[in-house]
Amino acid sequence: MSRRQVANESSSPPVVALRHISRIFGGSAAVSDLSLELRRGEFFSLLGPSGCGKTTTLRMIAGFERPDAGEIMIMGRDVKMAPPNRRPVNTVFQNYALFSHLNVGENVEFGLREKGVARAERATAVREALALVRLAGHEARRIQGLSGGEQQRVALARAIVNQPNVLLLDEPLGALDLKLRRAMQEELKMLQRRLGITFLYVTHDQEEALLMSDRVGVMSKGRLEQVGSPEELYARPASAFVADFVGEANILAAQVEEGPRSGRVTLRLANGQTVTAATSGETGASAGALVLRPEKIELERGPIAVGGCRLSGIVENAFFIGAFRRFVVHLGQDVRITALTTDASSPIAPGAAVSLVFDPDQAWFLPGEIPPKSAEGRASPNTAQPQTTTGHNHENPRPDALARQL
Amino acid sequence: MRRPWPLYVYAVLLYGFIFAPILFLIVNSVNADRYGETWKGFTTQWYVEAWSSPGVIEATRNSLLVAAASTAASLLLGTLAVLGRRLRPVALVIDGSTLARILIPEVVLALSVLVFLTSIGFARGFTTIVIGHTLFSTAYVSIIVAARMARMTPATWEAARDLGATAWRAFWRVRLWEIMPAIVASGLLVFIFSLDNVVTSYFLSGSTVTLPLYMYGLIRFEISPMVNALGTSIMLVTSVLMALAALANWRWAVGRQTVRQLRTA
Amino acid sequence: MNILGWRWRDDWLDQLPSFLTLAWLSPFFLAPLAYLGVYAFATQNYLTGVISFGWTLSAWQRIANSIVVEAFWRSVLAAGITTLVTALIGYPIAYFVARHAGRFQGLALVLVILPFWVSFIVRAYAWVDLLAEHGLVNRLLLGAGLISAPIALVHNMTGVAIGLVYGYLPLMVFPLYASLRAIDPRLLEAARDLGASWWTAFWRVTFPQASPGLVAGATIVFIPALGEFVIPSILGGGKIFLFGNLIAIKLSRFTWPEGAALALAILVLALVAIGLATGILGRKRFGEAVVR
Repeated sequence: MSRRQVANESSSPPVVALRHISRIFGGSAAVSDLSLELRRGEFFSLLGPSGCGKTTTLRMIAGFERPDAGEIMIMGRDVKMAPPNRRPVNTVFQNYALFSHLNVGENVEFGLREKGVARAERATAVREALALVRLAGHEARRIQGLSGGEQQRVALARAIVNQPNVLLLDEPLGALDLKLRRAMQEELKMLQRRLGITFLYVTHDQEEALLMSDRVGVMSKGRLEQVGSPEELYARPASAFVADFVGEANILAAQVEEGPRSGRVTLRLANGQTVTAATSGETGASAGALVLRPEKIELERGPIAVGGCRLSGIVENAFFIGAFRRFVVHLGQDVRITALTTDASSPIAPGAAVSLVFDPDQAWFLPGEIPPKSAEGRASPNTAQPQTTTGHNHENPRPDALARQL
Repeated sequence: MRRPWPLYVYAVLLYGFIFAPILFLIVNSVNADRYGETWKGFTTQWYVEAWSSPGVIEATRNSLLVAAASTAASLLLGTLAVLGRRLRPVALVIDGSTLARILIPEVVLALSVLVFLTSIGFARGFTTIVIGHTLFSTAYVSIIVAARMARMTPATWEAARDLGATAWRAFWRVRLWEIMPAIVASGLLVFIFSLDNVVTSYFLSGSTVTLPLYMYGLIRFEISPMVNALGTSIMLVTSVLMALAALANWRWAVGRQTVRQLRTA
Repeated sequence: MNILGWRWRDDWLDQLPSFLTLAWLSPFFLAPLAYLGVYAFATQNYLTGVISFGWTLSAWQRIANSIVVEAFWRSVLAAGITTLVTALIGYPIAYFVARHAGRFQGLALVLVILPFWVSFIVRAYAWVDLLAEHGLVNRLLLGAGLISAPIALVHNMTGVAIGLVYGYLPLMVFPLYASLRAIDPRLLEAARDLGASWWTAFWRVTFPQASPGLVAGATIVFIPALGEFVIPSILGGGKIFLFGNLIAIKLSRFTWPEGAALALAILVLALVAIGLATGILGRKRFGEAVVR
């Protein structure tokens, strides 16, 4: 079982370096043996389901949690014993945490005042920051009168006005409605490009992560499963978990028949059919999981001789979803595959025998992995979009979270 | 249960019971009859007599000073106690002593302080009364402030620290303002408690006479209509204070802005 | 230094309040109580007045005489009656404010507590006047033909009882109100829906649900009432001695061991009562949250 970590190819030293970080809460590890490097100027997302440890990791970088083991270096300096106010990072909190007894301008200039910046300079900096988040001129407004989106932008301005080396964002868009979220995602991305600040973005929404990030780190149960560009994660997931979490996927149990040889392997599925797939070339495993993205499969009528990159089965269900058609094909022995096609010409009805055709490079074999229960050959039909979070409940963080005693 | 008339009647009767002595007080404060048994005409002589008496003036002055001092001290120490609950073992001690100070009869508290202070040679006087009042006032401040703090999230404090504030600055610039309503409310409550306090003052005052003590002395030995006048005056002042508090509470968010604008002008 | 769970270098500031609080609690609260404990077990030479410290029960023996015991039981009785009566007459009013005052809830509540803001002394004094032989109450009763001769309502136990009930009523009403208000009205609706009469619904739904409030109220009435000092003094006309008065006398006359022993006795009683109440309620945050 390999955990892929993309090597640091950048020439400049990492802005943030986490080395073998662990954090244990009452017996169970929230984060275990996590190592990560953030490069200068990149948009990095930590992606994972709730409870995977991504927020804990962020808080350890910010300074609100202390790792039980490992090192944290920011700009080459060991910050383990440094309190949050002494770290060159700023955080945008999930529920914004704006100071309601101060107005917008005073909120934004808070950090500058702590640094002792003169009044005139503060005013200028605040004006610029607010302009960047498209809230120019709103300095005198009260927090209570702001909409969710506006509050979010004030929180952002408040953080970036201090010109931190890293900006930490803890699921900042969670409390916004869908449309606003989409707009903010684009804005955040553009802002990051403009400022050139390294962003560490924590989210459970894989679509969001793929959309905005230069690199994504997928976490599960306290461990980093894979780090790479969105393309890498999508096309070459390192584990069944990543394949299942990022985008929609068919993940089938498969036995190795031949190979792997020069990147290719011949597999036998549970229903007896064989396919050729690409793999990372590690030998030794006799079984594993085959990952097939639904949109990479084409349907042809009639069962043609299988082998190579063809599978045959009977259409069980067919859905028309506007721009796409979705087919659930039963291949026998309870093996099912979901295919997504744009072919809107003549629909194939349920009960018809079809062939599933795909490019072997698009079939990715993970030696030693076990398909997750929710994705046994079937992608969960949450929405009609081709790329959705599969099988994971959207946690909607409540703004009025229960308090911890301070 | 549409309209429970028996309950309404009962409520009226009970409120009557509650207010009877008060009304009696107010009426008699302007009643020319010294003994308050029959109405003998309207007069303000009791007020004049009360407020021109040097004893009353001095007692009032003492009461106000004691109340101001003990309120300030208890706000400081009470809030400190709430902050001090963060350390687990200390929290137990603090909570226990807070509960104790409210439930244990005042007599016991006051006398234990008296015994202690006398043993170490501390003479009774202004300071001892303030100490006594502060002792039970801090308990009320702690409760009210703690209740307010329990409803707050750590997020804003963390945000302040994240933005560069030290622990002290984060408290001073953020937390304090968030609990300010509780501080103001408890401050008022405690001020009034102190003004009205009898038991602790009785045992811990040396030659310092507070208003309640003065009145206690008056009524011990004779019927004194001055007391009615005094009582009504106190009630008026207290009501005004309470009304101001309610108003202040309501106007808090709005008022702050104007205050700051005035400051920067 | 990570014993105290420090995260950063300046965590000591975070924990400073804890130490400061202990610093002021110790001399002003913990030490006095400790002193009480010590004195309660000391001996005093009654001729010279000198107190010598040891661990004896001589003070306790001295107070175990009939006067003290009588005062003790009288106090318990008085506190008990006060608790009972305030509960009885306070419950309906709490119920009224919680369920039937609607928009005027705040006002109704304030009206219950308003008398609290009038000087305690003065209210007691007013009662003395009202309850006197020629006072208003007697005259009303006479006029209504309910009695044939004025009855002694003041300068005796009755007056004290009335004063106690009057003074402690708000303390009982508040927790009751709080817990009554917290009851989901749909529970009652469900009960009525299932065919229960108003009375049954009350006894089997409302009352049990509001019991934390009742226990809290009973506690914050009973315990302080045990040590009540002013009311017996004013309304008892110097003839009624309750425990509080007794303690006051003993301690102000420098018969400290005895006074301390009495105080300790009340303390133990109070702690027992608190323990009982906490046991019944679980977390006693209730009564506290009620002190507005």
